Amino acid sequence: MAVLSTKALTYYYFEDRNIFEGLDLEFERGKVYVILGASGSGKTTLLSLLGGLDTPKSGEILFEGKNIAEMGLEQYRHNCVSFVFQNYNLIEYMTPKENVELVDARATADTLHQVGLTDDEINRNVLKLSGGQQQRVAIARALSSPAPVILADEPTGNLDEDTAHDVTELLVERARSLDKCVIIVSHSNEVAAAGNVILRFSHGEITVE
Amino acid sequence: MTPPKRALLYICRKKKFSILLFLLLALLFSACLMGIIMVRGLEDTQSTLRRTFAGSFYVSTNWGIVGTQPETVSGFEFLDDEMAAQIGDFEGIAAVNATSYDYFCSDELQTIPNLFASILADTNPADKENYDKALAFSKMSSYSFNSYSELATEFRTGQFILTEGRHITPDDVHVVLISDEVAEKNDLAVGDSFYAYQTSATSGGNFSNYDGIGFDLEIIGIYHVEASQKITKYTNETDIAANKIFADIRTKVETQQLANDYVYYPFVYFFVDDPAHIDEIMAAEQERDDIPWEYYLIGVDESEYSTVAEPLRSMHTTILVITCIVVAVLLILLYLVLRMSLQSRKQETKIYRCLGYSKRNIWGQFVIEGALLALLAFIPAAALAPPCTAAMGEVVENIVAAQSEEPPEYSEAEIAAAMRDGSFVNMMEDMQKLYLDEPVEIDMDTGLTLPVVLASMAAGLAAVVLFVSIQSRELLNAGLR
Repeated sequence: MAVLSTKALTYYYFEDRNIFEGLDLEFERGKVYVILGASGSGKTTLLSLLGGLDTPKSGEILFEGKNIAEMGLEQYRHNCVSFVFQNYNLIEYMTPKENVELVDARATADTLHQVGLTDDEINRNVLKLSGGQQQRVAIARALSSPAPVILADEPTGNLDEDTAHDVTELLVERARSLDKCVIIVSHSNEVAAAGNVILRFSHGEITVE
Repeated sequence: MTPPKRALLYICRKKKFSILLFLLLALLFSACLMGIIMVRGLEDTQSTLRRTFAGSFYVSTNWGIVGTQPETVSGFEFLDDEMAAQIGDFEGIAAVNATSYDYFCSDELQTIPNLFASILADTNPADKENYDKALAFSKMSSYSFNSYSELATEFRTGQFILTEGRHITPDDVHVVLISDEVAEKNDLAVGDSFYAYQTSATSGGNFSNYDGIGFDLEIIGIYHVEASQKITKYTNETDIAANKIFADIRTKVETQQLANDYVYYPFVYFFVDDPAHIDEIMAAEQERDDIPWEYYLIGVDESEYSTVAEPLRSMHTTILVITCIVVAVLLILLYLVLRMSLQSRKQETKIYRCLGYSKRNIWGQFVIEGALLALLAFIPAAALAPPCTAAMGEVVENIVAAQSEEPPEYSEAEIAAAMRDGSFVNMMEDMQKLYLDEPVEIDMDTGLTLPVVLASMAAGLAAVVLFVSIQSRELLNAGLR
């Protein structure tokens, strides 16, 4: 059974111009979905809707068969999805460990060791970490969340090639090991290569590869 | 992570903002507390003064209605012992002081000389009529008759202080209080006597029925003039404070009886238990059917109170206004600082919301941050406010003292002009009035009670919660994309 699905999902910014219309998609646990497409094609919009950050103009988003709007979007974001953003979105006055504790009060240093951070880095203010290290913290936070779905919006967009490779590998492998559903928006072919399913946006249409 | 933990992390990690907000809140609380202490101190001082200066009402005869032949007025009764006792027999009235005034001369008592003495020195003895008149004036003293000399205005207000002997009471007859200056000048002491008499020479021949009426008056007390008085060459002896003689009311009654004159008291003062209720008591008295109020005047004489309290009232208003302005400015600053801080936390708020934190949970963190800093700021404010206010209290006392009391001085040209236009008497009254040199003591310890402290803290916390709630509403309702 799909953990997350859409039914006749439609969204537009202007009434005479749909971003997408009547979208039916399904996402399963343990798989990595990569959404590709040109800028402005609606990739981030779809991710925002899937994350409960915005509401569709029509159609439904279902989590394990339940409409997320009926569930309550705060509740949905708390229990069902977690995020990894391009610009990390960490709480800047907290340490990596404290950032992870925001979603899991029982988080330990091991959680961050598993994403490659040292003890010194774990207790440092996040602003004193490199971009790659900050993204690792964001990934650790997403993985620590009990939510079965991880939504990542251009997680390697601000990273150099080598770091981007490491971060992608970390995200994909850890998520799979935890049987989470990962949905990544990206421009990167390397990220696309790491996915199980490619969803390609073009002129309001989406093709599944 | 719970809101209190996140709030503590924010306060500890964002030190610059936390210190700024802490100092602002400490200033705000200090201004509030100091203002409250000073305003309450001034109010308490005014209440104390009112008890001293305005704790009585007077009753006097309305001669405008009674006319010159009171014995012909139907229903009229003289304001005498019996009427004073009747009016005074009322709930809330603690004491009654019947008063009168007059002038007596004495060959055995030399007053402190001034205008009349200089006129006498300049009068040719050969001009018998004027010389006799000048001589009589130079021997004249002003007498204040009282049932209780202790209740005379000068003693109640501390302008005069009894230093030897005792005060006059209603049972006394032919007794007086004189000043220490006059006593020393005449080598008199408590227990000595002197003879005083009335003469129509000082009233241009009027009141001849009083001529020759005199008494041996025993000195039962000696007072010292605490207040200051500006004496000029135009001040006559009867207006010099130290020349004043206090006598028993029986002597005045006897004088009127011997002169076959009406026997009455010009003013009777009724002292109330609680000055706060004086208006109610007066109103209730005037509803009595057994008193012919249509022939009497009744009122609270607040002239002494007003003179002393006016600087306090003025200072009270000034401090209240200044405190309100300072508090308002600090509140605006607090609002702006909180706004600036919360506006910079848009991203943080969005992150929390993405992580699934409820709006209430996020709001709770912001409120706890403000409340914790407010509570911390209140401690030094509450500790420092009393000593700071005490120090400022001395400044306030000096300002009040500078504004009050001291009468004006006029040049010779102004005095000459006043003589020509008839305002000389009023001018002299202004110049010669008594004033106390010591500043009014304002007790600044009474304002900071536990309820005041708790109320101030609660008000400060409420302001912080309100401002945070208003500011965070926009953040929490913003879109997440």
